[in-house]
Amino acid sequence: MRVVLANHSSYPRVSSRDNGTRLRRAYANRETGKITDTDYAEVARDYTGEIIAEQQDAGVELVTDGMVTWNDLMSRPASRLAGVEIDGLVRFFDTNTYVRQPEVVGGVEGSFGLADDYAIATDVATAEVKAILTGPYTLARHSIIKSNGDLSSLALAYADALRNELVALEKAGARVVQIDEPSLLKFPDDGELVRNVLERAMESKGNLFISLATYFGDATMMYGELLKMPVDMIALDLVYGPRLAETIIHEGADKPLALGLIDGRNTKPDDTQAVAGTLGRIVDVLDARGVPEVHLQPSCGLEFLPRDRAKRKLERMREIRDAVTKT
Amino acid sequence: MLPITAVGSFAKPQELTKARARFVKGDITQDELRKHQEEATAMWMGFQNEIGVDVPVDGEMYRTDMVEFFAENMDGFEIGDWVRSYGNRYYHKPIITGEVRWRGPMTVDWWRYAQSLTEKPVKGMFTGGYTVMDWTFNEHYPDRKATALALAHEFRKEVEALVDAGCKIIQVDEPAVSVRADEIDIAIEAMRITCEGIDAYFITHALEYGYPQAVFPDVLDLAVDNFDMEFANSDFVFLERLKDFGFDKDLSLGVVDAHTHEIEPLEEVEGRIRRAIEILPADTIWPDPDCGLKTRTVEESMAKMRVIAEATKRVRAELSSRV
Repeated sequence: MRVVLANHSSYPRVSSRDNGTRLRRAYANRETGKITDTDYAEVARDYTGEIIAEQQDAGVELVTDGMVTWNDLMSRPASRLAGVEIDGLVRFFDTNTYVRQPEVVGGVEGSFGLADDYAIATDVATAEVKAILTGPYTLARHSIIKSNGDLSSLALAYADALRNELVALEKAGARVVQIDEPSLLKFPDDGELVRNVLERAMESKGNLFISLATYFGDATMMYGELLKMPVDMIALDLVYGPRLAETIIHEGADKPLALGLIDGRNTKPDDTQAVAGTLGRIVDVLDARGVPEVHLQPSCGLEFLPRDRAKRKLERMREIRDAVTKT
Repeated sequence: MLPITAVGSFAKPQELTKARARFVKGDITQDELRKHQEEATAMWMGFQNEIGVDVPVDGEMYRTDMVEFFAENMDGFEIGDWVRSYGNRYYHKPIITGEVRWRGPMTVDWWRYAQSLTEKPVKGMFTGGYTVMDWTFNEHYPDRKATALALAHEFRKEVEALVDAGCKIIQVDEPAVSVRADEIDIAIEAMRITCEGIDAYFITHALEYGYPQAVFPDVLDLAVDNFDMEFANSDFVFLERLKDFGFDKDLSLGVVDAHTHEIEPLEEVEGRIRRAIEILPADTIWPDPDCGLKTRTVEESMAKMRVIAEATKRVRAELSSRV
């Protein structure tokens, strides 16, 4: 079985080292009209190249663009949609970070407009690039609904936008796409709604390999239900749910898993031997079931860590995989 | 009635921001930086006196941010590199690498200085143990509870020092408590350790930009007299639910959004205060901004505070005329 080293999604967009704040400065200068959108895009492209190189240097085989041009997981995709305005701040799960809430004022139409970012990332990467998208359900859960409709109808409307986005991403050359649905673990009774939403979006899946990511919660009780979701891979946060590893080992899986065994929320270095032990046991179980690959990745996006620590987390993944291979 | 207050921070004047940058580069001394911080504090105290703030704050001109400052002044922390808060806002997130320990008063000198500039009672302010735990990385303690309680014990020493200095109103900032309902017991225990049995009026700035319904009514067990809550940002949707939860504290009522450039019209803010006194007794309400105003410009901070003060005075006048 192949163990692929993958980044989860986001990556720090600033650091104290030389020129490490250029993206932040460019953002501020664009806001105050000191530079143009084109100037900002040039800095963003350069920074994206730098952090992709950093991931590759750390041994990551499936990199991301770090989502460095996203304001946040909600307002970036929602701001491109007709019928949606961007409203006030709300805390993003139990992180000390905030997202701006989409406010739905009319019929939702369009796509997230992320395919151009993907094309930029692939231009500068030598490793494969995973595209990241906010899931329709999580987007709906964070939205203020001012027009007619409810959570379900809005999630389905966002699913149509996701469907358009998948078409655009495939056209831009994407193969692996991760859809983030962290809200599902907060509202596990909505599993059926998420399934319906994903079924609608997957109508335009084409040849894409789709991973459904849950995090910021314990997926142990939902594990069986997650495996039945209409996607190719399930990405799991095994740090938030310490019992989840034993559940996977006990129940197995018939599809690839992305194992979030690296703590994306704390700077403390992960214990190589302990994580390798868990990874090795899961690999044995899935290998016996004929699953061709698993991904080893952080438990969530790495933007919650300082950049130097984020890189060390990625480097540790290589050590862990080596430790599994040697045993 | 309707005492006007502020949450804690105000925008730093440009001269102070520049002085801080020069201090970081080593171009000016700590004493020179302190002089700039005192000037800025005096400016904000003068402004609050002028507009009639009843319970003023020192404006936190000496702080970097609400966790980093305490991490810099206590043992057991290292200051980490930048992490993002939202949009283009970043902060140095500390890392706990050893046993946390109170070295001595951190806010008392600044409280004393601010108090010397006004006849009104100045709020003492610091960030509570649960939030400092939640907003730092932990490489030392076995779990989150152990971390929060260790910090709470140390912060009690800060409360005692403030009270010894004469401070009567103390705000313990705990914005992280509304985020994890499964840990509300830890937050309550931490607050009890820090405040219980000490003779002062306690406020907690605990419920902002989250989902307060997740922690109500348990959160009412926090050992404080006054809850400071954000309402303007969330269109006051939670206000009417407070009564259902048996809310029995005083309420610092956020009536202007702290994260928008727009200055709310006077009538709108007035309406917000009126709406609150239809739901809760007027003598329990303290109008203030949703949050600290440090992310605004000086002009925006002042304009937002002026509109709160003016709106409150109008509502007060109306209530007085009814009596």
